[in-house]
Amino acid sequence: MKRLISPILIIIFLLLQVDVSAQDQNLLISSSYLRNIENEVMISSEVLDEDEEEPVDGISVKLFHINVGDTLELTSAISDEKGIIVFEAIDYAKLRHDENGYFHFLLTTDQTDQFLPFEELYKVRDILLELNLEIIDSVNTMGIRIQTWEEGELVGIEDEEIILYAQRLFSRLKIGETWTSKSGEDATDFPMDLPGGPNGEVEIIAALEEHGDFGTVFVSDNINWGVPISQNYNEKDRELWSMEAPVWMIVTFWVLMTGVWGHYFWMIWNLRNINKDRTAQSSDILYVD
Amino acid sequence: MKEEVNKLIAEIGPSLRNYTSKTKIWIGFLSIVILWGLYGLFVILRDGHIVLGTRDNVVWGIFIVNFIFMIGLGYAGAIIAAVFRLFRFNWRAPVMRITLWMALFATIIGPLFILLEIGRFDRLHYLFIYPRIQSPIIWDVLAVITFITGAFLLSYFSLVRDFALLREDQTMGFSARRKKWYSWFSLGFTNKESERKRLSFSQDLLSVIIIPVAIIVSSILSWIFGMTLRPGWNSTIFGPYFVLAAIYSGTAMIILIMYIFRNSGPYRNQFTDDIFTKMGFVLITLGAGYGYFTFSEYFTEWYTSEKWTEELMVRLFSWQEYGGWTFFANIVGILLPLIIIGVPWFRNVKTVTFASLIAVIALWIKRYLIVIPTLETTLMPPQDVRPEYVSYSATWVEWSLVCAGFAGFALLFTLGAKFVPMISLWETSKAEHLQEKQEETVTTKSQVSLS
Repeated sequence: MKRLISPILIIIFLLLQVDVSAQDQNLLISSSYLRNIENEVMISSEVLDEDEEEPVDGISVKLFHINVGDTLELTSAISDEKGIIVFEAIDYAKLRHDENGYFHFLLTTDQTDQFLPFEELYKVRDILLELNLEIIDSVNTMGIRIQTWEEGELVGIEDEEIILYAQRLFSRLKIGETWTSKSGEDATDFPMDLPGGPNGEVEIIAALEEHGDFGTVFVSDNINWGVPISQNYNEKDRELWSMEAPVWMIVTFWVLMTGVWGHYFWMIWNLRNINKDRTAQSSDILYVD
Repeated sequence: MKEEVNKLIAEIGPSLRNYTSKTKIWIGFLSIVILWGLYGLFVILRDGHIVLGTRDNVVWGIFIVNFIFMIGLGYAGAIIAAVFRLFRFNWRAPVMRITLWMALFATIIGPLFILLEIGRFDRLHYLFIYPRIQSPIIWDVLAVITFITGAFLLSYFSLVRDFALLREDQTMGFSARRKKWYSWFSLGFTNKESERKRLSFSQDLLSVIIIPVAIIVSSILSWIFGMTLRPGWNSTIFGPYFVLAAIYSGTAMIILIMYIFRNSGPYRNQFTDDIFTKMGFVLITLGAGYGYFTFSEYFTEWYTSEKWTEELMVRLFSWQEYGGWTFFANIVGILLPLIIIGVPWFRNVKTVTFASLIAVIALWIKRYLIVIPTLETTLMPPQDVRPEYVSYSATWVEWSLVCAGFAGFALLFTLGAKFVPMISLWETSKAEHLQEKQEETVTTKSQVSLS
């Protein structure tokens, strides 16, 4: 028994070491901001183990909005197996920025078995992105203006790339790009050969994408500048592609089917008549050719 | 002729009654393969089509390849049997049963692979509720159903007389239950003149009908590909090409099946060397035609150098991609049988069978080369798409079901051979009887002339 005491004490000590060292781990969270055309804000964060820089799943993170000393809890979410959390459908109208246009967010986690509690301040600068669609000198022009706040005043943002898209059925089609001037404005021509809806409707989207300070922002507007799609076809025409098949196709189909299956039924009838013909015979007749 | 029939039954009858240990092991092996395939099916139903290798670009995989291959065997069997019957080839008798059964069994197994490719079984009935006559898919569904019915009737007509002969046999000691089945399936056939005429006429008429039916349905199968705008598929030659390829692979498969039954059953005296030679000649004739079509297809596509076609050609002929398989399918699979069977020094039963095996494998690979590389050649450049979504690689689930399909085909033959002989008793006896009569006539004539 005395001989066992030392090994047991060593094992207990080592186990305690394992527990203690587990609580020393820190998290690292990096975030990105997106405002979509419906004026909803989405903040996407990646939760990593600070030491190993590996994604951490199952961490519950709360998102707060800080405005002039008030802290408003917006939402919370749990990281997935890739360590990604998406805080979505945050109403842009509820957010308030400071005099320099910054939104302040706070991300917090509670203590877990493995990780210490975590708090990080995330700030992103709000912008005013405007899309102006107007005809200038008979040219359909897409004008953009991008501004932010400095000491409570709106100022233009210079030298930023704004991409212009047209919304298609499954994705966006790039139709132009602009670089803003000192006043934060620029314009480009609308492509005249872009197909639109039945009346030429096109949804145009202006996007500032993956900016370090401003995040990603989309705005959109609708206008009838596209080439109208002709909807002029007669539903009643019998075509290869219409609901009703061409008459010759139907006739050919039924003639072939009737011909072949008619013969099949005739032969099945013949088989049946073999059965009906049965009368007592010598079995030797079976071998007659 | 009674002596010839009794002699045949004495030779073949025991194989119908007895299950040797080899047969039991063979059936056991096939059953295990089928069960493995059924487990693969369970995995598909449980986890969805993600367990297959098909993705956004390559939406059809080896299930479709196997469908085309098996259906081709089916159509080929019907055409070969019908042509042999209508032209009254006097050596056809031993071959007919295998040919007809290949037509029937392959057409039963083949369409099952289409069902495996369908993601939503619960919508299958829409094909019949909301059919579009303009659709090649609908044509194919109806064509396959029509063809299976014709193949079944053709096979059954050829069996009626044999069932009657087996029903009347007193020497083999068949069980009462087996006799009852023979009696039932024979429809009470007694070979009266009216019955004989009716049966013979029906067989001839069905043979006449089944040839255009088989050609049309084989063409319809090809039009599922040919009627698309995809390079590699959109070809006017696809209809006759598929027909010829089907008959080529069907002939090769018949030779393989004949070899198996010749060596594992009591059929050595029926599947003679001469029949192998004759079937070999049929094979190389078809192979020459098939080779011509293949050359014409690739040559015209290569010559036009259209952008997307050229991409496909590079993929098919590049040794880093499918070049090796293309070489095997289109050169080895055509030339090797031609040489082996065409040159008398090489030609014997084993080499003819080996050539047929090469042809069968080459044609399966050819179907693979028609389907997969074409789908891997995307019409629109894929952006931000994972490479594994563009390239196809069959998973174990797919291979298990493909193997199960072939095992099912083999099992149907094995079990069928235990119920009826693998040669037509009536036609074989008749052929032997006629041959004897001819020999007697020749001998009598020579004796008369000498005297």
